[in-house]
Amino acid sequence: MSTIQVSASGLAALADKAAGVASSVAAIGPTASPPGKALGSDALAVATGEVLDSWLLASCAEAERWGEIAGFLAATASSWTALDARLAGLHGGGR
Amino acid sequence: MSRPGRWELIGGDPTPGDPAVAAGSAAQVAGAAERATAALQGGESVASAAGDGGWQGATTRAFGTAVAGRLARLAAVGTAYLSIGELLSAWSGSLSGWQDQAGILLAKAEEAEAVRVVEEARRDGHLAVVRRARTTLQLAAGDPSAVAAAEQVLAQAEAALRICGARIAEQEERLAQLRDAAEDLAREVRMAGLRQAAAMASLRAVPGDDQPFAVVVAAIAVELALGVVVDADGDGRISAAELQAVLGSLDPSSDVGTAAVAGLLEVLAADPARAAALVEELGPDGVEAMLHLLGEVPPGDHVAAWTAVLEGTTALLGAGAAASTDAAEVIRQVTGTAVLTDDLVVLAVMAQVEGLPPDLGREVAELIHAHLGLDGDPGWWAEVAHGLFPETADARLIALQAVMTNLAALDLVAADGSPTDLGATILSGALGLSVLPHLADLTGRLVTDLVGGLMVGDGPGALDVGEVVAALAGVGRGLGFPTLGLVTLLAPALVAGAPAPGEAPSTTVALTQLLDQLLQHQPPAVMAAAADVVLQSAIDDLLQQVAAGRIPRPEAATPDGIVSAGETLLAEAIGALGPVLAAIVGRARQDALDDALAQATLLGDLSETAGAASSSAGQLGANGPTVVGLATVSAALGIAANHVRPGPPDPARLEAAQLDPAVVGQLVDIVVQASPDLQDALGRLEYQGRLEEAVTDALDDVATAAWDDGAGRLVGAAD
Repeated sequence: MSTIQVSASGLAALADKAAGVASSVAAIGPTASPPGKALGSDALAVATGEVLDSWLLASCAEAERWGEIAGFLAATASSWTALDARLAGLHGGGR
Repeated sequence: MSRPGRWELIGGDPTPGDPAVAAGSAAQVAGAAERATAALQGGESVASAAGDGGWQGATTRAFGTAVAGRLARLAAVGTAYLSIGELLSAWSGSLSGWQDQAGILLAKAEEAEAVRVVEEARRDGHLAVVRRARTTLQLAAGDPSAVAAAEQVLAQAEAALRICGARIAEQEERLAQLRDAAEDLAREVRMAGLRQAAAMASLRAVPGDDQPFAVVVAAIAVELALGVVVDADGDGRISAAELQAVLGSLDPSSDVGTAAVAGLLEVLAADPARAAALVEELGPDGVEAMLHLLGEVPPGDHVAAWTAVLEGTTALLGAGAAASTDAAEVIRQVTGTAVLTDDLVVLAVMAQVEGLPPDLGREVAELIHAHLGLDGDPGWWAEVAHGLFPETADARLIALQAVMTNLAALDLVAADGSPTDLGATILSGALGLSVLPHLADLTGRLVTDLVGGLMVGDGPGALDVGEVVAALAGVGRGLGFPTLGLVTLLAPALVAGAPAPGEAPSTTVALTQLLDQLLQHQPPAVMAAAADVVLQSAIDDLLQQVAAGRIPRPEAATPDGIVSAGETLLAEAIGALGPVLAAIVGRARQDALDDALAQATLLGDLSETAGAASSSAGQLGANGPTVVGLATVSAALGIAANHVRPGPPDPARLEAAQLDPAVVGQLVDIVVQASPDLQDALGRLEYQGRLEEAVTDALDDVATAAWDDGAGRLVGAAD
C-alpha cells in the first residue's frame, strides 16, 4: 500500500477539463436537418434520418455522461478542499 | 424533388433528388465526425491527466476504466459519423451519375419527340394534299391530262404520307425504348437506395453500456479520504477484498486513522448513493471492519468531524442492515465495540432497525431500553420526542429516529387513521426538532401520518391545521429534496378540492399556501416535477371518481352531462394548480437569467412532464393526436434539453433538434425564439421572455391534454 498525493486544485482543473469535453461533445451533432427527399430515395432518406437522430441522441447522452464526470470531479475537489481546511484546523496542519 | 424538363416523355424523372444537397449533408456529417474526434482527444487528455500531477494513485486507473468506456463511446460516435458521411458522399456521386444518364435519356426523348412532332406536322400537310388531289381527281374526270397530273400529285403525297407515318412510328418506338430505359434506371436507383438504406440502418446507434461508475466513485472516495491506494492489484477494478484490506490496515488510534475515517464518512454522507455503493462492495465483513474502526476513534471535541462520523455511520449501517437477521447479534455487534458512546450505540442500532423486519425491530428497541437503563413505557418515546436528550443535535436525531421507528408499534395512529392523543403529542414534539437531510425518509413517513390526520380531521388527536401546515413548511425548507415527496403526499388533498367529511374548510386553502411556500425556494426542475405530480394526481382522482361511480353512469345521465361533470372536476383540479404553475413560470424567468444550465433542466423536466402526461392520457384510454403530440413534444423537448446541456443554449442546434415542426405544433415557438437572429436582435432578456412563453405553452399543452383526454375517457365511459 502506498500513499498518494491529492491536490484539490488539480482535481478542480481536471473537472474543468471534463466540463470542456462535455461542451465539445454537446457540439458534435450535425447542425442541419437530414437531407430528406433530396437524397432521391425515400428508403435512404428515412434510414438516414433515423440514423442521424440516433447518433444525435447518443452524443447528447455522452455529453450528459461527461457532465456527470465533471460534476463528480468538481464535487470531490470541493469536498476535499473543505476537509483539508477542517483537518488543518483540527491537527494544526494539513496532510 | 423532380428536376425541370419534359420528364413525362419517359414516364417521369427516374432519378429525383439533389446530389448537391446530399453532398452538403455528407460534408456536415463529416464535420460532426471531426468534432467527435476533437472531443475524443479532449476526453483522452482528461484520462491521461487523471494520472498526472495533482491526482495520483492506483485508483486513478479505476477512474480511467470508467472514462475509457466513455472514450470508446466517443470513438464510436466519430466512426459512425465518418461512415455516415462517406455513405452520403458516395450516394451523392452515384446519384449524380444516374442523373447524368437520366439527362441523356431525356435529351434523346426530347429529340425524338421533336422529330415526331415535325413528322406529324408534315403528315398533316401531306394528308391535306391527298385530300385536295382526290377532289381534283374527281373534278377532272374527262380531262386526261388533268387526271394524270392529279394522280401524280396524289401518288407523291401518299408516298410522302407513308414516309411520315414510318418516321412517326420510328420515333414512337424510340420513345418507348427510352421509357423502358428510364424505368430500368429508376428501378436501379430504387434498388441501390434500398441497399444503401440497409447499409445506413446498420450504422444506427445502439444503447451504450455504461460503466459501474458508482462503484468507481465510491472507491475513489475511499482513496481520497484514507490516503491509501485501494486498487492493490492494479487491475483497474476495485474489489470488496481490496476495500476491506484497506480498512483493516489502518491504525485507528492514530490521527491519520481518525482523520481518514472522518474524511471518508464525510464524503460518503454527502452522497447516500455513493455510500450505498460502497457498502455493497464492503459486504457484512467490511461493515464490521468499519464499525471496529469507529470504535477506536476517540470522540475528542472535534464536533464537526464527529458529526460527520455519526451521519456517515447512519448511512453505512442503514444500507448494510440487510446483512443482519438476528436482533441480538445486531446489538452484540454494536454494543460490543469498545468505546462507543451511548449516542453512537443508539444511532447505530436504530440505523440497523430501519432495515429489520418489524418483530426484530421491536425486539431491538426493547434491548435498547435495557441497554440505556430505560423503562419500557411507550411514553418514553414521547419524552424522547420532546427532548429527553436535548444537549446535542445528535441526540435529537436519535430521538426523532426512535420515534419514527416505533411509530406503528406504539399505537400512535388509531384504526381510523387519526393520530391518538399520544401520537399527536409525539408528532407535535417531533416537528419541533431540527431535522437533517439524511432523515428524509423518516420525515416522509411522519408527513404521511400528519396528512392522514388532516384528512380524517375529527379524530381524538386532531391537529390544528395551521400549526401542521407551518410545521410541514419548515420541514420542507429544511430538507430541500423531499419537497417532491411532500407535494406527492399533499397533492390528493389539494386535488380533492372540497373538504372531506369533518375536515376544516380552510384545509385546502392552507395546503395550497403550503405548496406555494414549499416551491418558492425550489429550483425550476423541482417545481416542474411538482406540477407534474399535482397534474397526475388530478388525473388519478378523476379516474377514481369514474371508477367509484361518483360520476353518473350512462343510464342516469347523457354523455354530454358526463363530459360536463368531468370538465368541472378537471377545471377545479387544474384551477388548483394556478399558484404552482405561476410559481414555475416566475422561477423559470429568474433562473434562466441566472444560469443556462437551469434551462436545460427545465426543458428536461418539461419533457418528462409532457411524457408523463402522454402516458397518463394513454392510461385513460386516449390514443388520439393529443397523446401522440404530447409524446412528440416530450421527445422534442428532451432533445432540446440535451442540446442545451451542459453549456449555454445553442439556438442553431436547438433548431436542428426539432424533429418535425408540423407535428410538434405550438412548440415550434421554442425553435423560433431560439433562432440566432432573434436572439441577437432581441437580446438576452427578450430571449428569456420568449423561453418563458414557450414554457407556459408547454404547460398549457399538458393541462389541455389532461382536460381533453379526461373528457375523452368520460365519453368512452358514457358509451
